[in-house]
Amino acid sequence: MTITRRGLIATGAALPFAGAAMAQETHPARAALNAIKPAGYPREPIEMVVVYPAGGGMDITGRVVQRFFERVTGERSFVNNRTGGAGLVGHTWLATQAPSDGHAVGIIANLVISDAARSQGRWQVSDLDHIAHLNAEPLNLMVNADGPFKTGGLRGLLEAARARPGTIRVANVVGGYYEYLIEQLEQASGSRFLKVPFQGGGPGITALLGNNVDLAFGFFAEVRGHMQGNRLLPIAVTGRQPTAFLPETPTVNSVIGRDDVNWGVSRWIAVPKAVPADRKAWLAAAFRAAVADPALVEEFRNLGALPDPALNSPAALNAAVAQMAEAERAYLVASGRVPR
Amino acid sequence: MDPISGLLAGFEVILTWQNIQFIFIGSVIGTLIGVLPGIGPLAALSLLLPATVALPPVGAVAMLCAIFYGSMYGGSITSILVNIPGEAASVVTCLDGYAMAKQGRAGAALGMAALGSFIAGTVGIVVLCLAAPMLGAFAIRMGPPEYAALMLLGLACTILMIQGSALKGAIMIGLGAWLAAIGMDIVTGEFRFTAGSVDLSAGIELLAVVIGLFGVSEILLNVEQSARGMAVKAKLSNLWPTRADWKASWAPILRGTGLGFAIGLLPGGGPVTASFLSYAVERRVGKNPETFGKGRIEGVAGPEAANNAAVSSGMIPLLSLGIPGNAVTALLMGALIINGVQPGPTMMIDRADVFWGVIASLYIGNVFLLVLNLPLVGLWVQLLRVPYAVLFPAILLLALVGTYSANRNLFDLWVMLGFGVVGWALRKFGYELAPLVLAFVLAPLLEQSLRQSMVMSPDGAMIFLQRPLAAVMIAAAVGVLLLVVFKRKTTTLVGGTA
Amino acid sequence: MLRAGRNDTGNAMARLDAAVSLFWVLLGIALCWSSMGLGLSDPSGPASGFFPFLAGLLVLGGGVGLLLRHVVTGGQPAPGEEIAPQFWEAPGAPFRTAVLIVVVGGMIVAVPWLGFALAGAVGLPILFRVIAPDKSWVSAIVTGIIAAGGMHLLFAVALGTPLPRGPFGF
Repeated sequence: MTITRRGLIATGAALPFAGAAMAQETHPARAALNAIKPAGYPREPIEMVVVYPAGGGMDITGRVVQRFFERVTGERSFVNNRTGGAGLVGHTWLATQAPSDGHAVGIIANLVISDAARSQGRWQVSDLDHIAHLNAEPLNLMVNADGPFKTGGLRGLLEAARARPGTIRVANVVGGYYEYLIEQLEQASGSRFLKVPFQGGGPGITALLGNNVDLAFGFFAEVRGHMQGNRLLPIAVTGRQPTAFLPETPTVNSVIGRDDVNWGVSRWIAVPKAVPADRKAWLAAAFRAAVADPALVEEFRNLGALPDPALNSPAALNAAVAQMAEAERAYLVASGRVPR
Repeated sequence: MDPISGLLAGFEVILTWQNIQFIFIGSVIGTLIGVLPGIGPLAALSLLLPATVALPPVGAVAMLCAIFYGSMYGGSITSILVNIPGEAASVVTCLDGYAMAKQGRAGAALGMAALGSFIAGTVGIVVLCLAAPMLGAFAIRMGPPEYAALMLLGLACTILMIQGSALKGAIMIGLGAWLAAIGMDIVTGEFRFTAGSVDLSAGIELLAVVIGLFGVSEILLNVEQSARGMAVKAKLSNLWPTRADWKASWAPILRGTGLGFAIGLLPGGGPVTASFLSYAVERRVGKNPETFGKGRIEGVAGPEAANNAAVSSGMIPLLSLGIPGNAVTALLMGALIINGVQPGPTMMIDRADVFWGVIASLYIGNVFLLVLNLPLVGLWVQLLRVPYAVLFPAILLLALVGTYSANRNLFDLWVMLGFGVVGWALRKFGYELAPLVLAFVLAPLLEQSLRQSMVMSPDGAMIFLQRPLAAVMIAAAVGVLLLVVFKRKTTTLVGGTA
Repeated sequence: MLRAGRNDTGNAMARLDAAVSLFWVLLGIALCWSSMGLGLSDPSGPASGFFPFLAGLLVLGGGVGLLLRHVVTGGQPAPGEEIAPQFWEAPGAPFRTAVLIVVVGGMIVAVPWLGFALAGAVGLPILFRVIAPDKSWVSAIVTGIIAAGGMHLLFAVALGTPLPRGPFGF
């Protein structure tokens, strides 16, 4: 705990000076960027929209990226949290109301896909152009280190669920990956869980700490401090292979013998489709240069997420977004949420 | 974390040039608000809240806290000099303070008010440091049932806060609870009462509601009346109380501190109640009670100490449990949430920097205020001369810009104006707005934790009786409700015979 | 004590108060009705509509209670309840209030085009004049420009808040 706090203080105190020092020297990528920079743009600070509240994982990523964007380009920008409706408000604003002159940029995640489905046809994921990938991370399945499931791993927990249906309490966040993941675990155990609804991953982790739920999902940054404090234990991760941060922890896929338990978060930059091509190209190049900066990769690593070099071009990213949307749709169809 | 190392870490957070500036600005604004009659700390905080969104959370909350207790210091100035209470908690200070000023002892009264506030504020913070971690240590065990019980207790205390008609208070609570329900239901993901509007699907912005209900409605009420003028006649001489004044005042200051601290701790209590009770106590224990109201320094020292101690202890339920005890702390809670910090049992673990930073800031702020209030008191008096015709429109523009800058959403401005008009009209009919805001803050937490508890519980509502802490708090809530009924009965009887 | 203060204007206020109570009754019914549409309970306990239904019941119950009180006591307030003796207390109050609301509303409409600084510089002098009619237009306009400029300096320049800009770039 002390480490986290000191870390916070240290970063808080260091930031303004770091920013001042960074402004002094020109970033190596600056010259190449200036060569393709459209005339008369940007004429005011660029708004970087984060659709989740300040202080959350998405927001912290957004603020780090914004800092490096300024460092790379030398242009002013600011993070704006357009929150509400679990992201729907901000996503809707980006897709339908945001200025299309390149002065509004979305720092978004794959959760945009389910929000597009919730928008009742107002907009679609394809109304946005996905220009630069930032990073990705899986979900970690956590149990309390003093709780009833501290030994036995995921398999033990699923067996307990089979033996006592409807008694294992899982922290759920409605209408998203948390819910899909719980359903897949239910199918694997052939049993029911008690799904306790929370407003986000963080409150679910807090409830797990107090032994008020038995299983909770969290991103690495949310659970790392509690793992170090030996209060929480990871029992599995989502994704095709184990995460670099928890190499000993098995994937859910390997435990329950599936290949589609890959829910996690993937973050990227999107702009309204109507933004002029030259501005889009400059923004894409600027964010790619930022993500290529080893210092930003190190910041991402501290947050528990890693960039994906395979998605290093807008075309690859757009294909990956389409693929994620298709995988989610396939799941929604298979689980009977969406008619075939 | 033990209090000493926590506090040291807190000072480490707060002792940056930037944060000290924020505290200083907050102290100055707070004193200013206290001096200006009509604008209380609640209206001022609500108007200034958006300006703090751009700041880091610790700096923002430290500044808002400084405004709150700064207004407690400043409120006594106009009470003593011109017999106009700068804000509600200084009403009793008028009684003996103005009498002292008329006898040419305004300096002693002002000085004692500032020193009493300083002593009480400082003692209050020391106790806050020692007690808050104890309260927080078991707080992590609080699950949804305990939270539900706690929110129930908070709502019961809201009822205790209602001074006028209980029926109107009930309507305000219902209205607040409904307004908070607009938007997405976190349990099912369904949208409620949004009428298909994307703006409403985000829910109604707390900031816009609070600024509208308190700030804009206050301005509407004042503008409606023709602007009043006032003159400052009292002359200031020596600010330092005499040895005899000290001898008379030390016991009232200590009593006021203890009383204020205890009252501030209770949800529903606050600086106003604390100052009134302290005055009542001093009158009861003091010699020659008939001379109270004719210039007794005890009548200034006690209440001024009490209202500042209440401000300090009011931070305990807010910071350690996430329960605002009164409308001002509800607003501070809103400020924390807007700044991305969720006040509650885990705040001192999750956001130890904010928790201890804010507590450390209280020490620094109190020192600033002592400095601001002793030598500079003459300067504050000049502010009484700013004409309202200039002040109110300027504040309105500030509110518009501030509310907009929080979310960059024009819809919030319409919400603010709408609630301003609604609040203005409701106040004319004797509706109190604080219960509405408290219900707006507490009801969603109650709903969420209650529904979580019901999902968790294999045997329904029994979960609240099986968990001892929840059961105790529910019993306390029932006790508070009975107290309300009993109190109402006696006041009705008294009212009937009067 | 309170009875002595009753007169014709007090009666008008009491009738208005009752009209507000009637509004609460209607709002309460509407809330309860639409909450039932959301569903009051499901197998796990209270559903989406349960809490809004309770809120609606509070509003409805309070409104009915106030109406009953109006009938029984003839519009007497409870002890500690501070009802204004009449809705408009000062001469010219409806005008001042209406202008204030219209000007602020107009400023909100104008902000996306004019920016806050310009909207303030236009709107504030009107408010100054309305609150203090004895001041001259010149002093009102000068004060308005100073106040709007000060706000712009505080938010846009000192705090760096991104605000909508007007045609002149501020």
